[in-house]
Amino acid sequence: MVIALVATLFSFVLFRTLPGDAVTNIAQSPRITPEVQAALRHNFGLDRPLWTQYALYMRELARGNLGVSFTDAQPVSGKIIQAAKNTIPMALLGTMMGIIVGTIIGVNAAYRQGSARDRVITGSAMILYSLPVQWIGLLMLVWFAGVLPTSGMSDPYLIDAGFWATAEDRLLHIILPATCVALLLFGAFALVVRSSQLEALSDDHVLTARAKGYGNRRVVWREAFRSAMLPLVSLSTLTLGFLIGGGILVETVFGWPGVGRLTVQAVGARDYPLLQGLFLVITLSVVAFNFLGDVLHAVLDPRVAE
Amino acid sequence: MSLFRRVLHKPTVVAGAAIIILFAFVAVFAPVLEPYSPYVPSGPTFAPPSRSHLLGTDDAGVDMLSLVIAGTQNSMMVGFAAAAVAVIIGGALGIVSGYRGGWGETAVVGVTDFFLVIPALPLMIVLAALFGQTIFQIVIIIALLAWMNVTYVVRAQVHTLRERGFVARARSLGAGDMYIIRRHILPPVAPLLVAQTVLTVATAVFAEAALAFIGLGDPRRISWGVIIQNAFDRTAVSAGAWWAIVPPGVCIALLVLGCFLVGQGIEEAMNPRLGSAHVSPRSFRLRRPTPEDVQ
Amino acid sequence: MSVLEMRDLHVWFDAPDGASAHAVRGVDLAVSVGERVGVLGESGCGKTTAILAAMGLLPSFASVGGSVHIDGVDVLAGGEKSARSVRWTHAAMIFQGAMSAMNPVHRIGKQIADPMVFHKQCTPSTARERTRKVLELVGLPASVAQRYPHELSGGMRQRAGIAMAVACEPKVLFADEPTTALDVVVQAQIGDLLSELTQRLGLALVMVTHDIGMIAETTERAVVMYAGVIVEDGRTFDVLTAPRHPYTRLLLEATPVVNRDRPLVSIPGTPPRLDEAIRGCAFAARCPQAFEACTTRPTLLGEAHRVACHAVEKGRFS
Repeated sequence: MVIALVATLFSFVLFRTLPGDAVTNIAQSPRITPEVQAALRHNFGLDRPLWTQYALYMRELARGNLGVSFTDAQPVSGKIIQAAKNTIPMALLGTMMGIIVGTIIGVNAAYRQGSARDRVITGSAMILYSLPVQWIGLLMLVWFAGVLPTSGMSDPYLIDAGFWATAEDRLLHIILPATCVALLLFGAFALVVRSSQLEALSDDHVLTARAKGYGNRRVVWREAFRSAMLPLVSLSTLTLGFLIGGGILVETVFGWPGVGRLTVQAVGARDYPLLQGLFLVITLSVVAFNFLGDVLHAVLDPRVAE
Repeated sequence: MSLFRRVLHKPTVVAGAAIIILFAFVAVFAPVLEPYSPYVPSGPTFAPPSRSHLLGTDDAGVDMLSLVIAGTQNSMMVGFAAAAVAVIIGGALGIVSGYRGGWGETAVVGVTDFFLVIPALPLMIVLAALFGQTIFQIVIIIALLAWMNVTYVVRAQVHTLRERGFVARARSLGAGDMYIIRRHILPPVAPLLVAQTVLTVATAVFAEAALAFIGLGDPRRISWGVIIQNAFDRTAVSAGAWWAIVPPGVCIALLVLGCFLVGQGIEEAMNPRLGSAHVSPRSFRLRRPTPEDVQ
Repeated sequence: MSVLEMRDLHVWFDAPDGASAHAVRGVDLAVSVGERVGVLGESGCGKTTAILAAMGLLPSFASVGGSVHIDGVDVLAGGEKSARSVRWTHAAMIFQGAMSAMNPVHRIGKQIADPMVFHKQCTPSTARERTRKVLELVGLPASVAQRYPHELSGGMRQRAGIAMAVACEPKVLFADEPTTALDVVVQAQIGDLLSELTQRLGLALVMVTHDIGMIAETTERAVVMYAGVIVEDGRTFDVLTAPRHPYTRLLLEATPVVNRDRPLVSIPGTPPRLDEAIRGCAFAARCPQAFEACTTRPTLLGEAHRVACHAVEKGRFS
């Protein structure tokens, strides 16, 4: 909560340190006299003390008003919501794939610690972790051009198609960006799962579970992984939060009309209200997902719940 | 065995260090190593790799190998400069706050936590968009968003050192703060700082490539990130010119991998993990005692 | 009839660099139904390793030789598979740190009931019923089933650990330093509980500890181990009041006793390294009675009170 408040203040101050203000841009038009400029500033409340401005900003924020975009005079909040609707399914799908594959492979590597298989898994996870994601995306574009749709989230020529045709079209479009997100995350997830699972496997209660006569599968998954999954939960929620904005590179490569691509467009157009709104939403979503992670942690670990 | 020797005994660390040294060598001698000018076309557009152009040419007919070598210079410079700034800021904050404790430490922890939560890439993009994108500004922006990990790790370490009592003993003997930090805090923290520097180089190279890809790189400098962005913006993908895409990505991956190997190697050597797994696919083995076993 | 029989049990730990530590060097031990045995010795003498080996619980870098029969089943011959068939249903174990030995994220009741269901002894609802009964048996209220390990005190946790171990009605109960982590008053309570419970259920108890008081209170037979072999084996009363092996004597003299005015001694030297071959009697290098014969390995000799010592055998020392 505190962090969320600080984040609003931070983004407010950050955008106030800009050279010039909203009126400077308009003032470039020769017909705007200094008097008109002053009137405009008064209208926007820009001549009031900063604290008052912040209070006003917060009041509008509470009403869900993030201002108006410079480029097309549309409300910023509407644009962001539309983009978020596109980002969330892609980010979720990619993260799910990354978590599932990363978990299976990480647990497997830990179970066979030191074996050739473990070394291959750890090595390839490290390498994948070292690749720039935009580069992975580009290679996917080269390889899958013609096989799968590589840009956007729907086929613009698909008009009045039935439900199934539309669904199929969406699904085909989401495969590449979601896989790219999964590849981006998989390496990190596999490494984290492997190391926390290794720690869990050397816990005494795992020896107890073996003494109880349980089979290895049950010991590995139900006893060891159950406690090793806690770091993974934190990492996953943190990642999801970051992906709302951090999918920027993936969305740029695959032309996915989400929050990340909107950010890049706002930067290109120097659309400051939009940029400010995006920055705030992205930060708050990270904070929110962090909170979700803490809640999940408490649910999964009775020791934290107290 | 000393920490230094333990680190050098790890083959992964040696391999990582070799990668970093190789790239540093290329960066220093870039002008000598470039076979052609990285700015002027020297062949047909999108020529595949051949004897005269080992890595082919890009959309303008510029030699890819020369581009990658020139890119090495700038990427390495951004990486190491940003890492140096970040480690100086983060290390100083970590040492002072961990050593002093009190409200100062609380404040530093709060600020660090806040910056750790703020998504780095969007903030970097905003900062670069607002304050400009010369190579100097990019270094500063990256550093401003990479110091937190250093502070976090260093502060924790200094904190435990302070608890160990010899600091209080040294102070009761009349030693000044600077003396204690130099003699008792810095030496045990130094390997950690080295590890963090190397790891931050990886972060910085990644960040530079990301900024460049969004179009926020220094337009007058060639870097690995800029080459990837060019391949994307211009027609490398539709031309199927994989040679214009692959080399810069491989360079980034190699350098980042080298940094990880060295950084993790040092950290592992500092706290070796004990304990062994209780479950593995293989259980105990059966063995017959020999006469020597029962003498 | 013996319910647990270790015959010439050996354990080696193999280091990755090819070195090998011979931690248990030929242990013969037969325990009959309902017998309570204490295994005594310094840390690192192989006592814990021996009981872990008896349940096949050693890690992959261990090699095991000899044989172990529990309730008639050859534990080691079939590797992990045969070992698994005796675990918890024929032989169960109580561990040293009850906190770390329990899964922190599962309720106590689940941890007691799950093995019964897993081993197909009963349905989940009967298992819950039996859980309540065993909790009562160890003197805990049934509500403890709903608790997590971290919510219990050390003594309660160890009681829960005992409940867990007896739930599947095993014939043999191994206990690995069950009271070391507890304070003295609770130690005595747990000791009482163990001896009472094993007698009531007819369980054989093999308790590893370096707490001599615990052995005296809880067991009827004491076995002393040194450097991976048994050096003395007899009725607890005899071993503790009239020790025959020089090592046992020194070990007892090295133990502080309240209200007894005698100097505390320490045993000179250190136990032998296990990664080097030991020739003859392992204790010879530290033994005040050592003589020429000690370069060959002594065997356990005697009727009720057996001892492995050339000096005792030759009557040079008694």
